[in-house]
Amino acid sequence: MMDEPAVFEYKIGLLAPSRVGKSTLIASLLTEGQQQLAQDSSVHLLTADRPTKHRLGATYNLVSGALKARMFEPGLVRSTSDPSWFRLLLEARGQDLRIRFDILDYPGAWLEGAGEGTEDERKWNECEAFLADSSVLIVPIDSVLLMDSGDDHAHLLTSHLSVFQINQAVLRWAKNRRELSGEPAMIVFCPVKCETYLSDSGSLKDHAGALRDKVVDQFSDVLRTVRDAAPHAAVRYLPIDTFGCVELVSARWIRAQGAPGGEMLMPKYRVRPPGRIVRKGLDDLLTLLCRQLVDTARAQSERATAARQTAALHSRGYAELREGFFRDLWLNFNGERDRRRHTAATDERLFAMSQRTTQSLFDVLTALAGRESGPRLHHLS
Amino acid sequence: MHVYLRTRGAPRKLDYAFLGAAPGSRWWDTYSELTATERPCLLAVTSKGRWRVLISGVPSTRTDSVGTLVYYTLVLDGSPCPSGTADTGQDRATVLALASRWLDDVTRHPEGRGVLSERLDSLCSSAEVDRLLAARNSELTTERAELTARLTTALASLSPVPSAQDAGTPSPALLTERWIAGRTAPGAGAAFLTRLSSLLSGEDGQAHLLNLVSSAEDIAALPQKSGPLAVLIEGGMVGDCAMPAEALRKPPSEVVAKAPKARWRAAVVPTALTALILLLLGLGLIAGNWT
Repeated sequence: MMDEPAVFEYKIGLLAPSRVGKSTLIASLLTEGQQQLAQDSSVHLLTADRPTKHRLGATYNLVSGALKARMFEPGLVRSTSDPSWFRLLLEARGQDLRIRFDILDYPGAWLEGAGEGTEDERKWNECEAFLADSSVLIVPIDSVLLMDSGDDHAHLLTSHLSVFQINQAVLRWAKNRRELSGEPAMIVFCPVKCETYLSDSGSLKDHAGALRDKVVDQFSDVLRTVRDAAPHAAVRYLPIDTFGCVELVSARWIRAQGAPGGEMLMPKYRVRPPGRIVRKGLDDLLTLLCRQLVDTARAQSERATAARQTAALHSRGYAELREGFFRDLWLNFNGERDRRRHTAATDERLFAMSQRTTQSLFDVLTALAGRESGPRLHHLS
Repeated sequence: MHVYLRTRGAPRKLDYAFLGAAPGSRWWDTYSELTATERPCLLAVTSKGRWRVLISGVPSTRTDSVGTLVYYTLVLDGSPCPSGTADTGQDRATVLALASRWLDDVTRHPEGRGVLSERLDSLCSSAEVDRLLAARNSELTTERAELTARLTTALASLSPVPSAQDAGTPSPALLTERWIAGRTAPGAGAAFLTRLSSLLSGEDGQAHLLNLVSSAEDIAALPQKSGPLAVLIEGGMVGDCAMPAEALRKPPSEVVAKAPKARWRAAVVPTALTALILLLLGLGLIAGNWT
């Protein structure tokens, strides 16, 4: 038992309607996360099981293969029709310490209702419970919809962005987090497909300020919900490129039955030569996640250490308690004293292990805190 | 036989959902660690006298709001009727023809585009799909029923792919009860369809074409069910579609059930019976002496 690494398990929830890019974001978190964290000496990221490895491998092969064949399309990754789980491990280098985090991918339209009384609804209830229980909530937002919908269609934005449904899910999450106020909580608003609007990824225009203002404006109710229901939660804003090498050519509204207002926005993209994937913002997201998860684990470990210290002190006191000459003789004779001392030694060992884990987490956190955040990251609280 | 069709519409809100009625359970969720339903796959299970088949990742020519190709999922289920019933043979033949077409489509085109894609795309237009998905489940019931009838007819008219002459000699592993092979391994496709035929006839077991599996090691995550097992590796993005056939071990639960426990029971039952008879005889003798 002494040799087994300490494992902390957490959930990361993604909250977005269909076709925003949840699956792509999850896949890029690991594939590029591994490369970026390789330069860091404190932690490294790996898949926790074979299904996750295969799932991410399939997405990587699909995107890279198409890019090499010059057939790159932004909508390359097929949308999700059934929920799937991604399990990743954050390992502290040189320490027996692992943080496992699970990410759930699900059909985005379930956010707006999965059909009353159906099997899909039952499954969505499981997904909702996962989201509400997440330590970190990421809200990917379609930046093309925000920035290129035009004034004529501004009134349709709220429903196309599913702001109401996101607010409902955030409320449930925030209430859950308030009950666990001893644990750190964080929500990250991540506009995706941002390469067209931010100059640091090669665009000639810089609309960073306008993009942030629009996110804050559209999601003002969601921000208020977080502040009211979970005031201790950290709120961050971080725009992310989806592929980095694509640029929006045009976006026009077309008639579409079933879409809010009977219309939908159809974007067209082109590949920027040389067509190499460089996703800006992803490194900051990874650092944020790592810091948050390590901090959460540290808080949990500190609580466990305090509890084990109390247990160790109590069992040592009980083991050495003098209960009178004849009673002490009897305790020594029947082996009870040895049993008590053995229990005390076990509790002290557990306390020492817990102390070491807390110290290791603190060291990793200190190392991660040294990583500089990029200019895209903003605090919204 | 019940047939269900799932696809998505163009607007982002019209996500993947069944166009007509939905199956009573999402039984395929138990395979989510082994296959991704957005890419070509096939699941077939027979248990407790009921067979269930899922064919997913069948590409359409339609695209969604961000230009991504849409796909279909077909779910079928039924019960093998007693031999001699007219319907049984038809359902079995339909599902076998469908499976052989799907395997052929996947072999001819990496995305699985082929006869099945065309057949499903011809069933309803993009506008009709959007209209059905936008309506509530309780609405457009006549249109939904008509679509299901058209779907059933379209599937019933599929003819099976004539069995091709394999390039190599089939591996003996394909004759075992449980095996795994790449989908293009010699004889694997034919052995898979033979196994599927048995399942449709009511034999308990499983036959799957999986796309998140690369070796026998991955099969450990497969739900443990009794009966034979045939697994084809799809190999489009993960694994090798030409992996030679390999026999799989029986699940530990089956081995344990047959071995020491059964022997222990076999020894205990006669001993207990003998003791009981002796006791009754003894009691009888005592009672006789008493009177």
